[in-house]
Amino acid sequence: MEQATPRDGQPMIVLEDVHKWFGRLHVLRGITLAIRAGEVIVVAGPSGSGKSTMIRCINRLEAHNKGRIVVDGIELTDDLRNIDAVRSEVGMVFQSFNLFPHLTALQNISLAPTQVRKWPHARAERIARELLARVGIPEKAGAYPAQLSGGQQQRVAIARALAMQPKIMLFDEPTSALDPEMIQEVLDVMKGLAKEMGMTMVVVTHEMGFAREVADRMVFMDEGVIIEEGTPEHFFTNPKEDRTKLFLSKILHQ
Amino acid sequence: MSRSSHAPPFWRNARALSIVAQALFVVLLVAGVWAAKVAVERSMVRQNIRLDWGFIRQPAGFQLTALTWTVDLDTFSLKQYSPEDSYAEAMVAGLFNTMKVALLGIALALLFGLIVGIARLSRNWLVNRLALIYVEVLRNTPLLVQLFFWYFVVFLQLPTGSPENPALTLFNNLLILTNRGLAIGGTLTERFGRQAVDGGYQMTSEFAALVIGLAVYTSAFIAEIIRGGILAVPRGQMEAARSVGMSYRGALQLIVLPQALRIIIPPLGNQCLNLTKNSSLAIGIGFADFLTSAMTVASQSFRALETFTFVTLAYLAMSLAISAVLNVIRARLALPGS
Amino acid sequence: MATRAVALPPPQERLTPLTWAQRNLFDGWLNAALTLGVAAVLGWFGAIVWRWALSAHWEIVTHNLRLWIVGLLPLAEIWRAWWAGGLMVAAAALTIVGARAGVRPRVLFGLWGGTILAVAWLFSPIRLDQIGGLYLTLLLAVVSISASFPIGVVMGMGRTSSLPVVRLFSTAYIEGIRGIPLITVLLWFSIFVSLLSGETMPRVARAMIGMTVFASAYVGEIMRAGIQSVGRGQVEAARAVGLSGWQTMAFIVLPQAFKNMIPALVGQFISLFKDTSLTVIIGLSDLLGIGRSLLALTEYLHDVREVYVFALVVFFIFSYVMSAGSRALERKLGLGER
Repeated sequence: MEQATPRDGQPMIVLEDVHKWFGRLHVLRGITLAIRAGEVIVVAGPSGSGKSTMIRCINRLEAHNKGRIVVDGIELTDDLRNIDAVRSEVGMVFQSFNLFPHLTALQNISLAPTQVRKWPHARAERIARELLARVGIPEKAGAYPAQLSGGQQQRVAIARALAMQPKIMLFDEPTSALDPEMIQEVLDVMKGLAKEMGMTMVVVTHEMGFAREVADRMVFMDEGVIIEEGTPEHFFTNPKEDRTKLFLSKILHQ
Repeated sequence: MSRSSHAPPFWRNARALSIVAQALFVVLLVAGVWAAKVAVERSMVRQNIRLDWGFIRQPAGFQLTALTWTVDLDTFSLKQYSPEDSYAEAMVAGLFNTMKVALLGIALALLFGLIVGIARLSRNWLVNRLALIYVEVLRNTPLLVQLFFWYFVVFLQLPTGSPENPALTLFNNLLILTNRGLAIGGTLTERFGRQAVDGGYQMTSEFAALVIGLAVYTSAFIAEIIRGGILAVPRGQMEAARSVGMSYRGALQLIVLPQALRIIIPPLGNQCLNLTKNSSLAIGIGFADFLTSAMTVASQSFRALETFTFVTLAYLAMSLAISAVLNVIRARLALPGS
Repeated sequence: MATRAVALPPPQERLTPLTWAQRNLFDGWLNAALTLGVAAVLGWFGAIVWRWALSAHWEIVTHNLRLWIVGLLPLAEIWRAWWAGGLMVAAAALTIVGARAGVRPRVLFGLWGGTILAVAWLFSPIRLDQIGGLYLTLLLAVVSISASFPIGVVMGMGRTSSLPVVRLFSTAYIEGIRGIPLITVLLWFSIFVSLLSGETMPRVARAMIGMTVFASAYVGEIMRAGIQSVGRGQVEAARAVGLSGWQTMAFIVLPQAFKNMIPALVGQFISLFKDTSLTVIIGLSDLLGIGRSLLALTEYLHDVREVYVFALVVFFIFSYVMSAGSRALERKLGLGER
């Protein structure tokens, strides 16, 4: 195991000059970013800017081609043990929920702890029920995903990711596939994670209200490069770059 | 600061593991094939069988009714097949017959399939249900049984052409049917006390039964594919077309059918491939297609293993060729951006 | 004052036979002409068939029912066949009742497992080449699809593997076998096996091997489609939550893939059931084979029509019932209840 680094003061996630190609397409063009423990980062930008690719590199759903990525002191390489170690510390919530349709909500949440951490069933089930209560739908434990609304499914997905007790949570446009009236319930859960649990979060989203309220830092990406980063106030009141201003003008007149 | 990356040991390295796994697989595969080869060779020695690939140049020494045209393998020119020609040329003659059956069969199958497919979409209850019965009966019974039916129950039961049992003529002698075959556009004469046909396009009962049987069977599948393709075009397309003022017919022609065509072509091509493969059932009714002539070659020359290798390779080549053509058609038809 | 909107039942539309006929049969002069024309042809044709059916020599069927059903099984052993048949029918009936009543799938599997064991025990002293007729047809189909299933699953998983070498091999196997006609595979195994092992293996066994290999390629293709029908997002979610590649396959991909494959698998079984008729070409006495053997007897020499019509009807009934059952099963599974 790579030598554990002292956590206090050291960033939780470090990306150093990360490049990623899909075939000939240069998607990430030198991303450098450091995220401290407990920070909430909101990543925004036009589609195709590489935001999803960037966070998918953090838990190795995509492999970066150049540069370094270090997560909680563990460097992401081809080393399988490192990859598994990183994945057990990083939870992910997807735009299309990706719940396992043949398992109940409870089973969706307790599957990984029982299979990967080898927890006994009773413990896994107890934790799963607690998490379902935390996200606000304890009564849906025995329901199948097809019987849940979109907002409820996404909340189960968040509980599923939390079941592995991660230090970092990644959100890839978690509310983009939801009907408008269900967006708020999911954002409320995410807010709770940030404020009550002090979770390190990297969120790709278009929900600027959420960003303003919860984010510690905002990152604007375009064409594979970080154009600008700063606090939400800086972003919304005084953005520096022209491209940032253009993007904000397009999405803020809702 | 974490240690910079020097390559992890291979049993944890994702890329190295994949290469090792594949190498292991190849080794096992080669070992398995080699072991099988040794077993086969040993068995062949025991049974005193030897492989001789040159036999196909030897004279065939047999004639089958349907073997007419073949290719001279020295000069690559067309010629009439005769028993002095080589085994290879006999099989080529069979191949020509397979192609004839396949082309004619596909053409008829498309025609019948189109008619029945449209009938399946008709609002006329009688026509719709009749087409449904057609499709269900043909799809739920085996092709071989259908071929036997066409051959033994339909074509062989046609009149013999003798004075007590005159030939069946339709459309004012345009179509003449006897139990020896049918003729299109020939003239009816008499020879040796029986009726005979001069001229026109003549085909044997075997050929006719094979082509009609294959065409009718495949047409049932084609009908369902056509119906499915038209129904698969989203309703919104027809709605949008009507709402800008197009007539039902115009919308069908300009909007629905072009889109349906894109959906239909791949499974349709698959059915054409199936028809070509199914033509091998000619062996059941004695028509000298590729497989039948190959079987005759195998039994005459006692070289079954070699012959069958040729047969397998030939059918694979045909399948690959048709699939390749289909892929080209699909690429040409694809909409930009999809 | 706001009134509460109460949901009312829709106005009843009384459809007399006259209005129904008007709408579905005589809607416009084209449809009317079509209806009359088709009805006329249908009536004329139907009368001919009906008259034939009443006066046909059905003794070839009625006097030989035992042959048709179990072939040349020795009279002393017939009781085994009747018991086996009875058990299967009882098991099928219980399954339908049990499924309606919501009995757990595990119980139904156990019921079938027990039935199959009982049938196997009943038939254990019988030699393979003593079975014929309908029972042989069913035996060939069931054995082929069962034996081909594990091979097909492995090939299908190999076809979607991330290791290029494994993928290449599986693709070559699946596409190679699918590219050649079934009759070629059957003839191959028949000749190949007899050449290499002498005439020791009974013809039925050779046919079973041939059909199993053939079916395994099609099951492999169905497996591939099943695996690919499970969205990429499922695999990503499983990996993101820490499940290993094998765990993902076992807990997430395969359960969903198998459920999606069931309609295609049943369709493949029905196809195989019809394809067993091809074994007549290598000399087996399945349902079709018995029919053709009977035709060789002098007393039944001219009963060609009866034999082939009967064969068509039997195959149709089995195939149609199985298809209907499969559709009902699909609908039930589509509700997603457990």
